[in-house]
Amino acid sequence: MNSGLALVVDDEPTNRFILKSLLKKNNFEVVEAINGEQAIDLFLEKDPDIIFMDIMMPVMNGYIATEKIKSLSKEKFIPVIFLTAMTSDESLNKCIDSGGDDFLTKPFNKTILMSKIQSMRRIQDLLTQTTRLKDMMQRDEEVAEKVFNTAITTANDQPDSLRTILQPAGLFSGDMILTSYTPAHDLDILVGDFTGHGLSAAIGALPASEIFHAMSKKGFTGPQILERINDKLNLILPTGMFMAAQFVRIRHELDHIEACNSGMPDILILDGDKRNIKHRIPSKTLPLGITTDFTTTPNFQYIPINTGDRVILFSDGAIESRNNEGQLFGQAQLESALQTSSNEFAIDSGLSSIKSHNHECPQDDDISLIEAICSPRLLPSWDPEDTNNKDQHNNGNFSLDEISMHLKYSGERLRLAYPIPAIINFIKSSPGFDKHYQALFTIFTELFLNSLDHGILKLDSSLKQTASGFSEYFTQRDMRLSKLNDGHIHISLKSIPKPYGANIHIIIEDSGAGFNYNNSDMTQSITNQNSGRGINLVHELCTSLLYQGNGNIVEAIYELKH
Amino acid sequence: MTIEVSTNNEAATIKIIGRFDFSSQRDFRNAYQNQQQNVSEYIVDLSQTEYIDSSALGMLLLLKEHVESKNAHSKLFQPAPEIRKILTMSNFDQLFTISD
Repeated sequence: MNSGLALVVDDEPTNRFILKSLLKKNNFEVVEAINGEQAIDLFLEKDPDIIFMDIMMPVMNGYIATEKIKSLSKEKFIPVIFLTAMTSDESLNKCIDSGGDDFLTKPFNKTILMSKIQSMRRIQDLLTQTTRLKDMMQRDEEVAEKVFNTAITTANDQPDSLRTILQPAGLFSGDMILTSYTPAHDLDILVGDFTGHGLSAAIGALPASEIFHAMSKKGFTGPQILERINDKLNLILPTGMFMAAQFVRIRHELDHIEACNSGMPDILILDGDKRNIKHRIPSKTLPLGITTDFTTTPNFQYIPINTGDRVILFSDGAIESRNNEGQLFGQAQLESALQTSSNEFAIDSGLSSIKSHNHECPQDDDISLIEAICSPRLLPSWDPEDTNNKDQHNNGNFSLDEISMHLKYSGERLRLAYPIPAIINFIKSSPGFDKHYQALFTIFTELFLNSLDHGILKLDSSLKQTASGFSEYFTQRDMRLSKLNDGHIHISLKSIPKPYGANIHIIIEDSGAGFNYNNSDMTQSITNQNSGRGINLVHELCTSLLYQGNGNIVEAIYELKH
Repeated sequence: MTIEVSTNNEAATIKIIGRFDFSSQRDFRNAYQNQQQNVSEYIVDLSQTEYIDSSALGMLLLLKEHVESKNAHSKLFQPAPEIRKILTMSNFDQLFTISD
């Protein structure tokens, strides 16, 4: 069995001869060089598996030749064993310093020579193994990255005034950034930080992304989305793996945001004009995927905002980097950079600040920074007229069937059920109706929430006029909802075919006390108070909006035109 | 990083000195898995821990799972302020008793 190719470098022919014979007896093929320079040439030409190098040679000595050879063989391990008559510590050290792996003193002992060759071989095997593993890992990471990008990133909506900075520490970032518009054109943002890196993070990111995008587009609430993701991750991730998360829903009215922070640095809200931090949302719950006992509802915060305000999210990589002196960058420094920024996006200043702190120090952790400027440019423009004109490319005026749907929610079920996603699903899957789902979604949501909030829960809309009242409103809402065990809301949808398409009748009845709608002042003030832009939009979308009964029944008629 | 294990009556103390991160996995797991049957309390001494990352938090979750399967309890002991901040941000104080 062939032991490989050995390169013997020595200016003395006798020395070369002795070593060559020994090696040949042990099944080595041998090539010879008479000085360091020739050794380099032969190394490049013949690709030996092991090199025996003398030190004192004309033209080029063994130290220099070894240094050169080692620098040329970075990927493979080619052991270099020095042949030396000198036994001083200094000269032996110099052998190792110049890159040599071992040394043999002359005159050489055959047994010692063979043992050294064997140990070199063991090292070589180890290295081959690790290189192979490294290659496999690299390939896996490349696959993960591809999957990640296709399945997750391309599913994201890309609003104009949203800036995302994603800087992975390695090939692959363990941070996940998801964005999606709800049917009402709220903007949902989820930033997830998984334990681990690379492939192990991708495993959790795939289902999290699927659930997020699907549920957001179906009109589910923030707490519902997070709780479902938590359940899924709990199921599939092994103990010890989890996802820290920041969730923000920027409402399409641009008057408030809903947010929840599970194990990540504070979410910041910066004032639109002064750019100072006017609100922060710290972590209140465990990260996702740890416990089944996970409710986010009490930890969701509702923060009023003004147009132009900025929402900033970042993962801990942005604040925990260290420079070469070991100094921590820190949250205070990042916040200072964000607040004093004169860039269009404050996070660009944040990133420069991090980079100049780190200097040449390699990045330890993934860095992610997201900034949303809460202006109308953040949301896709949605003209109610648009929906009707969308069907111009539609083929033919097929007649719509008469359909009707009734949903009754009473007592406890009211507390637990949220009917909107189911209704939207139904509409989206009905031919002819599907293109109008956004308008219908708005009408349903607005009227249902009004019935629930005012009819059943008896909340006072005027609370929402002030910043503190805002939080108070939603806190009260959560509390009353959690205690709800009576009352009912009946929802019905009926379509009546017309020449132009259909009239959609939406009737919502609640068991509440209603209000005096005959008093037009009252109706106007209710309209002004209730959700501001929301109910006005409903008025715009519908050809008629009437209250009946004692004010606890509302009927909206929407003209669905082909 | 080094791990020192000591037992006193029915309490086992696992002291983590240095960086508690991804590379600590094997040593940490060995520390608690090799305990005798009669250990009813596992104490993770963080007083000399300089740094923890999310992998380390994951390892604490694994410890908790192990401890609960033995009907014992665990607690975290004297984390330094920086470490404490990380435990608070992750709300791990909801899962673990932290004693000073």
